[in-house]
Amino acid sequence: MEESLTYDVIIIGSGCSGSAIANELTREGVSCLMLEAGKHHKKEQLPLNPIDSFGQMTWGGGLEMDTTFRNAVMRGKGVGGGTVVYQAIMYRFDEYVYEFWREKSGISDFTVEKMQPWYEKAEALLSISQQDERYKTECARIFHDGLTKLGFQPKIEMRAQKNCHWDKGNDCIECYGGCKINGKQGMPDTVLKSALKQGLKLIPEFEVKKIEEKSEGWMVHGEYRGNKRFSFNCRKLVLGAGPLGNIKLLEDSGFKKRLPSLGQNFYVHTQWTHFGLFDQIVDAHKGVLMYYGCTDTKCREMGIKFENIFMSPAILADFYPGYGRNHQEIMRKYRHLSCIESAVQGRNPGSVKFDKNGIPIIDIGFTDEDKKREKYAAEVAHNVLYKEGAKEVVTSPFSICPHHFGGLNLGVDGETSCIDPEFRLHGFRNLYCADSSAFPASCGLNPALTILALSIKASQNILKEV
Amino acid sequence: MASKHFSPDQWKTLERIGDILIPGDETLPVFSVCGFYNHVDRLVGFLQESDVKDMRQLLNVMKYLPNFVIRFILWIATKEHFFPGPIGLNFRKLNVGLRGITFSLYYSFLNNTNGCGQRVKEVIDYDAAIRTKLEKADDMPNLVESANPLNTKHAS
Repeated sequence: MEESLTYDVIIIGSGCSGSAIANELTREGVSCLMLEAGKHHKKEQLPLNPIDSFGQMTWGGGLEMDTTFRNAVMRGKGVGGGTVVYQAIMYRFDEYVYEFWREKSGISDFTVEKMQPWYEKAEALLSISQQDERYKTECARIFHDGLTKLGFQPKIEMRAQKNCHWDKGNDCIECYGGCKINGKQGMPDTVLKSALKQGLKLIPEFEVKKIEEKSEGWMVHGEYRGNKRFSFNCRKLVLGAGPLGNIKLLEDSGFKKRLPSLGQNFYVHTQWTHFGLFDQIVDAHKGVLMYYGCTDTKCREMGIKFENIFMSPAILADFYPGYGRNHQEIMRKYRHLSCIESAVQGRNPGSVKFDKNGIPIIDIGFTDEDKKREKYAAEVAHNVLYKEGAKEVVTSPFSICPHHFGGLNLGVDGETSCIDPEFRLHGFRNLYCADSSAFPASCGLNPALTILALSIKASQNILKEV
Repeated sequence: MASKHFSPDQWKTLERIGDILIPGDETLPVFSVCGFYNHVDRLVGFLQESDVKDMRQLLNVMKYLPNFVIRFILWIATKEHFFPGPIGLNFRKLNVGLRGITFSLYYSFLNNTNGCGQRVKEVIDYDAAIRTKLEKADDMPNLVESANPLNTKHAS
């Protein structure tokens, strides 16, 4: 079945960027259609176990490995994109990021001052606060005290959340697969909901297969629920499917030649998990999650971040090395485990392309210098855990990369970037992108707030031309 | 037992490997008694078809290997860092694939697993939960439903 409907703007992807742009445009009365490959999960139907939540809410069953099989990219799928499964940690980027971005992009607007108004608008869309100190865990204490003893300065994370009711015994770890009580401020509970109330049209379970440039705009072709083909027309098209999604769509649509740097300048943060086994009960799975983070000056200079993460047993079992009786014994002591994650900012660009089956071939581009920083961060994490009394400390056999950036990249030069400073793809009149694939480089911090801020900024340009 | 993705022989081999990875003890059940074939198709259905094909080929080969050889392969695969290049890469693939499937099935506390899900949960003593309800009815389902132009034009 082939159908044709016309909109002012079509937005591909319903994560931070797509939702923010949809919200800005529909507020001004622009007719918008959002297309999302994943399902909408009703609160009462959120998957109850990690197999289903990873399977239904992420691409590739949860983890898409890089070419070395040491690093796993994770990307959200479903209405709200990655914001349904993320931990909603919010950061304004600092001068460390913007200096790097100016150098890579040639865009002078990347400064703390010039980005401030966009952050203010982004923050106004969410309820951002610290978690309640009374419900932090022994894992948080170990993280804080250990890092402090080593001369670091951990601080309480700012998180998009409200009404999490830890006083009534709620445990944030259960919201990895989607928050059942609207506590975590994902897009479906905030910005996207607002856009829908303003008239946004949304088709979940619609996978866009190809985009086609027309004289008056774009035609978008895709499949609804895997078997019905539809096409839609629009005057302007916004890509918000994240780096891998956007690169694949542009490759499949035959735009590689017009965008010579497509799939290049791709960056990740490798996040390694370090576990410590303690005599005392840690109960890291209880109460608030990721209470502390560490992004002090020393960390920022080195491009590392420490996070106070923990995970449910099925995920932890995968991340804890080994097997057999020893591994089983560790799992039995789940409540005695503490954890630190070291996130290392890739500073050297990698690349992404797709094989004939549509499987991503991901080169994260890490150099020996990046690996040295990974090693240093792991040593710090191990020291923290040992200093606080761990009997045994191990590191996960692979890193996870939920933060990935670039592949399209903002920049003034059409040879080395795909997106111009006005968020339009170089050489295209009506094609825009402001999600994390637009980042000129990596950042070393949690990106959600900046994706929102950039997307609101991009919306002003789109609005000017609708 | 009938799996859409694995033949009976392949599944039997996966259970044999699962028993080495998760041997069980006096309180934790051994992998193969849990009857995870009720769930494996769902898990595997989320994976890339090429990965599943690789897994089937691996199981076809491992089927002929005695347990002590499988044990040796699993052991040496954990030493992947000593093997640069494609050998180390394949050991990592093997590790991620086999551990991923068996551990995810075993530690997800699944129902309909001969009571294993509940037993493992009790032994680990995992009690995290969301104990409150939504404070007011969620209006998103209705918003999403009414925002879909294909629902109104082509009810399906």
